[in-house]
Amino acid sequence: MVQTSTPAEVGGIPTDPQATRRRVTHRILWGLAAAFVVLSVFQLGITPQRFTDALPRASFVWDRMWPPAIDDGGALSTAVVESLQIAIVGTAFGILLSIPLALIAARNVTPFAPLSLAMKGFAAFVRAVPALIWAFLFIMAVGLGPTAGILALAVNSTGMLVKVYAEALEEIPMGPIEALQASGASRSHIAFQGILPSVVRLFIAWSVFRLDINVRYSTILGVVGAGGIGWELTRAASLSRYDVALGITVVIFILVMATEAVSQWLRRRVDDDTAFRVEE
Amino acid sequence: MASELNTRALQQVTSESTTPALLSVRNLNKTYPDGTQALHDVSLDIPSGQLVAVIGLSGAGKSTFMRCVNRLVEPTSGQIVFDGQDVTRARRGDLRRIRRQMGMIFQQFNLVQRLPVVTNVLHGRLGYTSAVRGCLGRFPQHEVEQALEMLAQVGLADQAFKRCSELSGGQMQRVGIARAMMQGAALILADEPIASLDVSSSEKVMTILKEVATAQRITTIVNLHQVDFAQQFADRVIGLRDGSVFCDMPTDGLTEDLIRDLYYGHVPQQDEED
Ligand SMILES: Nc1ncnc2c1ncn2[C@@H]1O[C@H](COP(=O)(O)OP(=O)(O)OP(=O)(O)O)[C@@H](O)[C@H]1O
Ligand SMILES: [Mg+2]
Repeated sequence: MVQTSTPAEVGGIPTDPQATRRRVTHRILWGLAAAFVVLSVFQLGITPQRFTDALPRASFVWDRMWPPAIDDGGALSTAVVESLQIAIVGTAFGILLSIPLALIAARNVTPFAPLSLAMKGFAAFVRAVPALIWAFLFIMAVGLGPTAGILALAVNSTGMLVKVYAEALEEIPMGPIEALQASGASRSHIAFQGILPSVVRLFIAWSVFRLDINVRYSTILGVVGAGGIGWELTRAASLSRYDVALGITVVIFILVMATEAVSQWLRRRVDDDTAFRVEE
Repeated sequence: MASELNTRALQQVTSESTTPALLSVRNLNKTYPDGTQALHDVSLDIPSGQLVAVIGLSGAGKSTFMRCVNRLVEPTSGQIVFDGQDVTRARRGDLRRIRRQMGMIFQQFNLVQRLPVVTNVLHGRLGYTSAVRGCLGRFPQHEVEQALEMLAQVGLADQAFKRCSELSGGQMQRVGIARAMMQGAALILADEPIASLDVSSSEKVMTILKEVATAQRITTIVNLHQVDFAQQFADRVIGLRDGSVFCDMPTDGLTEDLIRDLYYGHVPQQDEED
């Protein structure tokens, strides 16, 4: 920005008019973005005073958080287990649903080309709707409780897994598939014997990654009433039991960290060649 | 009208030759969607047990011809009759039954790299295997034993339980041959099986193909770039030029002049080649 002339001008070569236009467009966009932020701060009434006013309130809550407490260990561990169950079952449903849909979505294996595009569009739509909104929708459909949470995670996972599975499928070598076709193998034979072995590791890696995400979501789903530990957190907060709220937060923290560690370990194992042996 | 033509062609085939051809191709044409006319009115009869080499310049239509035979490529027109069955008109189920009687060998081997060698050989049986067993890769014991025997025949007995990705190119191609043999096919189609191999591996692969063709009387069609290999191993040589049959004769009838004509004798067309 200190430079007064671009390198292109230094060389005596006139600048590319297209590049100049792009630079102007960028400046306008940045300017608009900055203006929006400033405007929002004023419109929402965010003033330094607001923060200073909040401080005493925050320190009041903070003081009552310590020491973190576990109020009802039995209920809490049930909730933890329920969260994990929601995450695991939701992921499992998501995987089961995503594999056939990805086989339709992947350009190179789809039975009917226009379906591929439609399926990708559908997955993009499902992905675009956040998990919590799915949870609301399913609570309306099936009522409060873990079922809504499971369905929300299953659908939300499908949006992502169809995309990443399809991308993995689109990378597979087509030669072996052609060879199986040429030998008279059926479509299902080809899917299991020709396609699956090439993608199974990527599928597992993505699925484990998704499980990781879903455990995070499952801890928060309870806040809207879709089962699991989030509900305990909401309850503690509404009873002003801030020490219990912190205790539950610590448990959630441990849960999420543990999941991440397990998921990383699993993914490393998948990467390790010897971890995969095809049974005879 | 088309069917009338087809039946007439079929009658012609069966009445003309005393030993009915295993594969009979009539007026085969293939024009790709982009307008490339890859095959032009190809007619051939191939009797049982022959090893036929198909030679010609790159782009002459060798692969297209071979892939029309098992309909990996859909012919535009013409008729292909294999062992009395009309390949060109076969619907999905029939086509699968026809395909399992034709083994195919590819330049790039086309093995499933992540699976063990023996599983790849067993893939040759998928056309005969039920959906569930095939999907799970559970082949009957006698087929597993047969697969190991096939591997021994191509000199890979000790590699059976390795992953394919751990093999050399020449070894992979021998697995490809074992897979095709595993089908128990009457016809083997080999599309440039040695184009990615060094000379000694090429010799080995061609020798095995020759043995299979003679000992088991499996008709074999091999697309080849190397004329010397064609002359050394084939009973008959078919030269394709610009999608048409340029010459078709027993191997010893192939003269230097013919070869020169086949490969260099079409200067006007040169521009259209890649
Ligand atoms: N899928 C396709 N779409 C359009 N044109 C094609 C397609 N496949 C092949 N062709 C064209 O058809 C002609 C014959 O191709 P083919 O692959 O059969 O030749 P070939 O004799 O096997 O050549 P090579 O020795 O290089 O393998 C070529 O001009 C090629 O460009
Ligand atoms: Mg070719």
